[in-house]
Amino acid sequence: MELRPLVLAILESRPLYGYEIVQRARRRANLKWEEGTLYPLLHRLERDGLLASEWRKAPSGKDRKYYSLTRKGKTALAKDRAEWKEQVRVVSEILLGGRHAKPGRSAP
Amino acid sequence: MPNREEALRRIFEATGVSGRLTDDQKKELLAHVEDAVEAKVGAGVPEMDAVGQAFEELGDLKKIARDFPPPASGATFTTPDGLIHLWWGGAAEMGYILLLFFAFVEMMILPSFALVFAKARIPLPGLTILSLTIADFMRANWPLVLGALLVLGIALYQMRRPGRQRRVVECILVLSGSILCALVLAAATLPLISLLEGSWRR
Repeated sequence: MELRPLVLAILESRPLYGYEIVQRARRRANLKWEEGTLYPLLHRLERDGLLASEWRKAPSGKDRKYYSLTRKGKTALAKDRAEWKEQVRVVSEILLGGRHAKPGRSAP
Repeated sequence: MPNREEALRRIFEATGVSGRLTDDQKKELLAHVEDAVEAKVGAGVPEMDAVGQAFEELGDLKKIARDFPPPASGATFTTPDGLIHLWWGGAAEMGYILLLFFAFVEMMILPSFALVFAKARIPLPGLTILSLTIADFMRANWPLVLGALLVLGIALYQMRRPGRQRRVVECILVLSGSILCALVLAAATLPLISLLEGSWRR
C-alpha cells in the first residue's frame, strides 16, 4: 500500500510526531506496518518539500520532532485524493457495474 | 542503574546501525521506541517485554537505516561509520572544490611557469606539456570554462536544497560536467597525439 497519501492525510489536521502518526493510523484504519519504515518516508517527504519539521516539547515534556504539511504537501494531498477517487470510480465501474450498483447485480 | 532512556539508547547502540544514522534520525527513532515502551508499560506489559515488543514493532533497523534519504550537508554524526557516510554525502562538494582549485592552478599559475620553461629551452616531459596545453586552452576559452563551473556550482547547490526538481538539476549537472570534461579531454588529447607522432618519427 502506498503510505504517502495516508501520512499526508493524517498530518492534515495538525502537526504530529512519528509515534502519534503511527497511533492515528492504527486507530483510524487498524493499519499495521513496520513502524520504523515511517521515518525514512517522513524524511523523504521533508526533503521533497511536502513536510516541514521542528523539534519541540510534547505534552509529556520530552522533545519530539513534529511534522506539518507545507503548502506543497497540501497540493500533493489534494492530487492524491483526486487520483484515489478516480481509481475507486474505475474499479467500482468494472467490479460493481457502477458506483450505485445494487447488491447482487453482476458486472457487465 | 541507568534510566529507561539511557538503557534504550544503549540497546540501540548495540544493534550496530546507529553509526549509519544522523543524530537527528537516531534521536527520532529512540523517541519512538521510548513512547512505545511507555505506552505498553502503562497498559500493564512488563518492562522487558515492552522493550522487546517496541523494537520488534519498529522493524528491521538495518533496512530502515538504508531507506533514509542521503543526509543533507551539515548533518552531524558521532561515529566513524557515520563520518564516512557524511564524507560520501559531501563528495560532490569536495570534487567541485578540487575542480575549482585545478582550474585556478591551470589558468593562473601554470602560465607563469610556461614562460620560465620557454626561456630555459629544456625538453619537457609529456605530462608537463599536457598540463601547459590544457592551461593554454582554458585561458583561451575562459568564458566557457567559467560558465560551466558556475552552472555546475549552482546545480550542486540546488541539488542539496529540499524540494528541488532533481531530474532537471541532474540534467544540468550532467550537461555542464560533460562539456567541461569534453573541453579538457579535447585540450589534452591533441597534444598527446602530436607528441606520440613526434616520438615515432624519431
